[in-house]
Amino acid sequence: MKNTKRYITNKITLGSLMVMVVLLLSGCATKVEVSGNFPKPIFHQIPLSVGVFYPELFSQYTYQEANEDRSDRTIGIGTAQVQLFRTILPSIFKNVVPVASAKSPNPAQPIDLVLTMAVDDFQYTVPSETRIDMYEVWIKYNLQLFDPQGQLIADWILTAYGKSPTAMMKSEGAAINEAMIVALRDAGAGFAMSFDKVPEIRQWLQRRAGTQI
Amino acid sequence: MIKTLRTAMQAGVILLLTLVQGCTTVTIDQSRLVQGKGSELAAGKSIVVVGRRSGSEYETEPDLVSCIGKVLNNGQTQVRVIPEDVFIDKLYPWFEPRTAPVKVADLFRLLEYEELSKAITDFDMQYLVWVDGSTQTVSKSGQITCALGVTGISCFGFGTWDKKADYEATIWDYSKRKMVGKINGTADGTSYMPAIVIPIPIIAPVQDDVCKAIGLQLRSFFKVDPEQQPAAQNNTM
Repeated sequence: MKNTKRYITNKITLGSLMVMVVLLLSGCATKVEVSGNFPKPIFHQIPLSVGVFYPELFSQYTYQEANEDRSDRTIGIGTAQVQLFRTILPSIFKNVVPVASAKSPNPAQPIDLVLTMAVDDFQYTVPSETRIDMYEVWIKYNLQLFDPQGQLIADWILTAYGKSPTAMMKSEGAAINEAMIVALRDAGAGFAMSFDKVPEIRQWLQRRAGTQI
Repeated sequence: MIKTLRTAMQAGVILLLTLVQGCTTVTIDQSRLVQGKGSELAAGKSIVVVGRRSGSEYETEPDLVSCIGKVLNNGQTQVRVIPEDVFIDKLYPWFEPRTAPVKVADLFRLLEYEELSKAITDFDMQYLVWVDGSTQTVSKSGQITCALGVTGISCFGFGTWDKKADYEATIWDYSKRKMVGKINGTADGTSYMPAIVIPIPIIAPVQDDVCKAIGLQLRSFFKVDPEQQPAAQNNTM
């Protein structure tokens, strides 16, 4: 009887310790695979047929926290950012074709340009670091535009920012996901607004318009 | 003895409830830039409530915006309120933090885009209400310690924190192409967390209270309920 009682007490202690360990571990590591929906933009469609190449480093981009002073966080962005561009590009260009490479696209149908992109930098902050009740993320994209022969036409930077307020019962993962969706929407807005304002692209469009006249 | 204990417990519960209900102070100020029936909501027209998200150190909470919409829609007379996410998604990318119109003139400049103009017209919107502000924790004190024992985790201590909500609702009349009014709502509240074995949070619903106050004031502003008298007021909730 005494042994049974001690056995139960040990079991309870062990159980409590395990719960504590699990709670502590879950409090330290955050893994987020960013997911959400992106709306189709309302935009003046540019009369271009554009091939799009998503490099593997872009389509599978995952940020892994390397700083030992920060908690262990893994943020998977690749799938969501491909989803964003797949949604917005057909509203911005008349025709969008996936291609196998940026410099030798070999498209199934004629194209005017090839667009490709890379994540140049990704940063985030959490409320404990900034003393404001928000999760913030910054993404710096490097976009490149080639002609169908693989000649570089434009190379430019697109930055995006997103933030999400903290809330009771909202997990860190959910807050980072929200901030990421805001940042990706911002990237989409920035791309749509700035595409034909990039000097090299503007010049190319003007030359093309001149040739067509 | 039992009777005394029961009376003491009842007094404790009443005191607890008093604390919960008595800790939020809400102040509402309204400025109306049109007179008479100038701000009445026309039959069949809708209202859109959208949060401003351009502040660098705060974020107008989507929950607050959606709460104001619910209060605006909840009364004797039904008001058609377009949910913020539906409106912003439909008009993407023109109402994002970096692209949203800051002045009334900016909105009407955007309408030069035919497709955008058509999308806004489809909402049948009369008023666009911009909500800007946030709820912040302004101070914290107290300490709660938790320990792991044989029977599990037990806590002891007392914590308290003060929250301040500060919002401004700016009302644009889409049909008249001008700003017709502003409503400022502030709320202060203190929350408590006594912990005897388990922590018991007694939360001051600062954000909820300011949301209700702004929502009701907006109903009054749009003269949705005929019996309501619109006026600047101070409420203690």
